[in-house]
Amino acid sequence: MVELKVDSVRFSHRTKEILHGIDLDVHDGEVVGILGQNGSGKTTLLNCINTTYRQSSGSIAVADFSKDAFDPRRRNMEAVMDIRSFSDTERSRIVATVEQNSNLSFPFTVMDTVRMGRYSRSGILDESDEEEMQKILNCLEETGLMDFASRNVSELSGGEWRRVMIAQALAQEPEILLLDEPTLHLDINHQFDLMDLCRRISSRGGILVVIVTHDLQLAARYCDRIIVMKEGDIIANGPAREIINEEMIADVFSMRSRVSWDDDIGGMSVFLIGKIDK
Amino acid sequence: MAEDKRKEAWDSDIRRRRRALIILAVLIVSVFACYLLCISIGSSRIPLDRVWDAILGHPHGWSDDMIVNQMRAPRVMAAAIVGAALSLGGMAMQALFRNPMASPSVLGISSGSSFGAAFYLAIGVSVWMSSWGTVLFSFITALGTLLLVYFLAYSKHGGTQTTVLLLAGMAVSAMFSGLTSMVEFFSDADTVQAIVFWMLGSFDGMTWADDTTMIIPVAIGALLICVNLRELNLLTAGEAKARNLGVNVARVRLMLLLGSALLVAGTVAFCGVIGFVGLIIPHAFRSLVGPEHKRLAPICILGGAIFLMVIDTFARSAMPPYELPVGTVTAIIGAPFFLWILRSRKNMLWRT
Repeated sequence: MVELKVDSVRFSHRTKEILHGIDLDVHDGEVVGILGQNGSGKTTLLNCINTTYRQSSGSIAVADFSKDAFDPRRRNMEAVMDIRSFSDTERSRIVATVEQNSNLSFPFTVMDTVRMGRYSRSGILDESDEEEMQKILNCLEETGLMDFASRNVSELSGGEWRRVMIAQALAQEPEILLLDEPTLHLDINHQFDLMDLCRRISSRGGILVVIVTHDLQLAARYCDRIIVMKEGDIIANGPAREIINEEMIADVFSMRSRVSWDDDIGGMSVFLIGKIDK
Repeated sequence: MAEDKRKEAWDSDIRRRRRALIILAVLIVSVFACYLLCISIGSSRIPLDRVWDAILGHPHGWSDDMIVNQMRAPRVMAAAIVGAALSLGGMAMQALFRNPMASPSVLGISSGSSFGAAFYLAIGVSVWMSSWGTVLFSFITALGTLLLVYFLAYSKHGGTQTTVLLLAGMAVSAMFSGLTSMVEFFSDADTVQAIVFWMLGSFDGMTWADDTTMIIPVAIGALLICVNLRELNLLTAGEAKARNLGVNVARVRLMLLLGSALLVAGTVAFCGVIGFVGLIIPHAFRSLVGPEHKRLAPICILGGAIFLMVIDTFARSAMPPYELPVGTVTAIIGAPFFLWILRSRKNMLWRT
């Protein structure tokens, strides 16, 4: 059981304030979708959560009631820990991030790339351990990359590379998985495959999946909880069924749409009609 | 079916590892073979069995002892140490800058380092003449140059653009050559000659004492890099990503910068600028065993040692009675190689 608590987080870049006091409380078992236009502060929030950016005020904490992510000595003292109180290694066992743009400068194999995710979990000499190897293979299997294991990452397509990055994040055995626009630049098939994968990861339990996206249709279809951001504020937060409606889409995205619950897919279905003229 | 694929993936990983081990084993044997061969070759050729006996302390006559143990062995050893140091340093810089063109000479680190040494030769001699002084001065300027180029060329996201990197290296190189010329201008003729000769890069006159002094900064530098081999892998994904994967980037970066500077300074202080070794060797072996640094590093160390032992032996025996400065030979070989990499990466060079 893991819980992410974001408490009145503000973030400024130079003189411009990008996040104006974000409050958020989400826990594992949910697929959380953060929606918003470009520049609404979604990615900034994500980067505050994984401590790439330092918020100018407010706090981000994780509460953990189960696994080994926390040092046992500390857990006895306090179950809620500020994300900044961890060392880099400790933190990377709790939070894994799949960035929007990432690349390797050299042609590593898929296997070696996924193995990088084990950095915080294993020692330098454990590499050829049977157990380590099995874990890496599990990650490859889960993301459907087994056929690519010995390929060079420079030969992969965009969708395959995205899956490698997810496999690498899974290899961290995180409790919180942050994905920044995971479906960007993917074709329709791969977009749905990828979201199915996110659901599978989440349904396995013990892991909170947070997806930042501007794709309304996918978010409506796949996320349990939707958080809508606009100009650095959260303007809506709740179950997808309640949040996604025609008024919200008109307000946030200036789009006319038709929204319905689809029994066949067991999720919301959004049909975008066109832009609203101001 | 799924089990088969698992096994296949596993086996291919093990095969890759085993291949690297075989290459490593071959290189270990070659290092020793090269060492003996390079001692044997020269203006007066000494057969291998006599070299062997002389090394073990039973020379056939005093001239064998003199040539093998006092003249050639320390020199070949110096070439091996410098080759190993420069290629390991080049490998670390390439991962740190996320760019396969990075290397001590291309980035101007060697020029910076040699300015420090020249400066010491010019002013320090009267104050405190010791090889440690040269090492210290080279190290300070090498580290300074490395930091300068690093912060000039590095962008937090997306690594270093080749154009920026090369231009920064060129500018820094030019500045330090200017400074070195300035030092020469204000020095007397003897010092100028010493500086010029030493700047060409040569292993001429290396003694065991030089070797033992040189090995200390080189060993410390190599250690600083070798404890961070896994981190080097992760750094090629960018510093932000490496941090998300659990690397303490600030600490690792400092260790790598210090380590690379020590490797370059330790070698430049004794042998001058020997360019392109740090570019050629990591590049060549990366295409052979892949970029995984735990496998690449030992292979680079041995490969660099062999490369420079062979080049130096060629340099001193190709045109008797003259000895070519080894730095000029590596430049003549290295520059076309550099241009070849540049050409093969041309399309990447001009992207925005």
